[in-house]
Amino acid sequence: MKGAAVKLVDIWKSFRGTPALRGVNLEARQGEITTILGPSGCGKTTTLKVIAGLESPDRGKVLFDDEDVTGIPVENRDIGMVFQDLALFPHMTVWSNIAFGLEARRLPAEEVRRRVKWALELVNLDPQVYANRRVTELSGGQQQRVALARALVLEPRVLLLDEPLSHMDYLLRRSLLRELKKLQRRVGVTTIYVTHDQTEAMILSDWLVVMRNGAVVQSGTPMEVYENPRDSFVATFFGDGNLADAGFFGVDGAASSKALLRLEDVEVNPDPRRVDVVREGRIVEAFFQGPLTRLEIDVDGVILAAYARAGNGWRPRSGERVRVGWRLSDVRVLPG
Amino acid sequence: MTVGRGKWIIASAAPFLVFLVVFFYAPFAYVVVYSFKTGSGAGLSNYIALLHGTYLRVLAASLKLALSTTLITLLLAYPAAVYAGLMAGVRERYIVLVGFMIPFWIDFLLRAIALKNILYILGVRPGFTATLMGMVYDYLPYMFLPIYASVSNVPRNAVDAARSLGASAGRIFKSIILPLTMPGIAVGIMLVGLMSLSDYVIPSLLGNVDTYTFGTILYYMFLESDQWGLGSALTVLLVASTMAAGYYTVKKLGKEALEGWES
Repeated sequence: MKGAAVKLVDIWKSFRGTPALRGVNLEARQGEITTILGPSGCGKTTTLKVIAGLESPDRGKVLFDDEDVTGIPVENRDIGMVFQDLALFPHMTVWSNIAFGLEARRLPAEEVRRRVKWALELVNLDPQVYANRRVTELSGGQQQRVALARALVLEPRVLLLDEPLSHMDYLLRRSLLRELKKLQRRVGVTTIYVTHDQTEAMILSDWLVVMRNGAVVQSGTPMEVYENPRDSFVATFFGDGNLADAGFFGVDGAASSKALLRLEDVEVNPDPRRVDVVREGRIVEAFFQGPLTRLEIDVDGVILAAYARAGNGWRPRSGERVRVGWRLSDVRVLPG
Repeated sequence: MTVGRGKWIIASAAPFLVFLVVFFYAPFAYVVVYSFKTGSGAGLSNYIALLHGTYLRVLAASLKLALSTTLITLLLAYPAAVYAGLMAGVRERYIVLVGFMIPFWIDFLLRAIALKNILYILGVRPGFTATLMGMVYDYLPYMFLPIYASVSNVPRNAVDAARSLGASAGRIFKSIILPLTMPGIAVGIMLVGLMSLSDYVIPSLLGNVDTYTFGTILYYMFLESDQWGLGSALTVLLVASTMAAGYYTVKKLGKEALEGWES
């Protein structure tokens, strides 16, 4: 299966006069997982539907491998899509759900059989066991696999996923995410995944696109975006961080600009030789999280969040006075 | 979703069951007994009397009326219900829903009389056509509502999903929308079919001698000519055929309506 590179050029879209997309530019490289991350209402699902051909943009172009597909309806656009509610056909068996698209293309029965079997095995469902089950009898995770198999059986150029895991519980979501990533690596289809969950985005993405208010705010590899967020929105929506005036962190020059210090860069009771700045504070809250305890520390009226690793019999408690320190090179002054 | 079947659940249904037994099942048992009564003892003479040509003609007329009503309401209600439930935006959906519901707010009898006057002005005299129009007008919501409710069986994105798999509009209708709304169609057919089969008010207001239905003839037997034995036999036959028809409809079309789709 060989995917297509996807490119959106200046996409605009309004619903009843309300703009949903305001000039979206986006690129998803061939064979990679691109994640569109953003809060609800930011236009990420609309963007996905424009790529799918389920919504036509008011302005702008959709390109698959530099071929303009803007005018091609979803039926002929050669995409596979997994919907938020999965949209399995509830009156059909697993087999009929997956065979639906092949039968719509009037492929010979023998080929339909071969490809449905291939797709079931691809998503780790034993055809012997599951083929004739009603989809409504399956667990959430199994339904997820059927939806994925149904989308992949046509060997589409682009696989589109619209928050398909949002209804799953935490552990199942984690294991399905890892499996999805491995599966994508195996089939190599260009994949675009929409989510509001930064953890999902971190685990999955080769390329991350952060959206807000109908436009792309920043894109890059997850690490690039994490380490160099463009503004305070990206800084806190992707990853967790402390935002304060640069002056507070001890950065000279742009003292009144906002600056970011990630939680993992704040050291509690540090070795003074390893940090540039040391301040005194008082623990306001301590949230026990297993190996780490998340602390909220009042430092001269600014609440700093940090992780403390409990050890040597020390258990941080609220009210306790601690020292905190950081390296200046870890403080990122945010533009604008 | 399964609700537990504890004693309390049964207890909560008890008042309803008692009501049904006192006011329906017991009197109905009496009607069954009455239908076998003859002048001197028990027998089938009431049933045999019903085989007379007059009654068979009524049966044919009644069936024709009920089938036509059912078919026309189905053809009118189905596209509207699917449109409102599946395709319309919020505003359009409310326009269709309110449009279908407003006639419900006006008294049944009042509507029938108003329709009679309108038809009179339009030159449609009492008879089959007028009765059919009256029934379609009155029973349309009973066809519309169950179908509209069944549209919610279609997952929100199922049509988009089918399109993304390359299906044509015809295939989407035939293999997704139609089977998923079949329970609603079955319930609508049952409701409208049964009501129009035994209706009394509309045929007597808008009909003539050609539109005698089971309802009109029962009225005549019980209340005008004191033929209780004959009336009881006809009632029993009507209920029996209704049950058979209902059983067949549910079995054939609406098995899913009782089982439900939900996981």
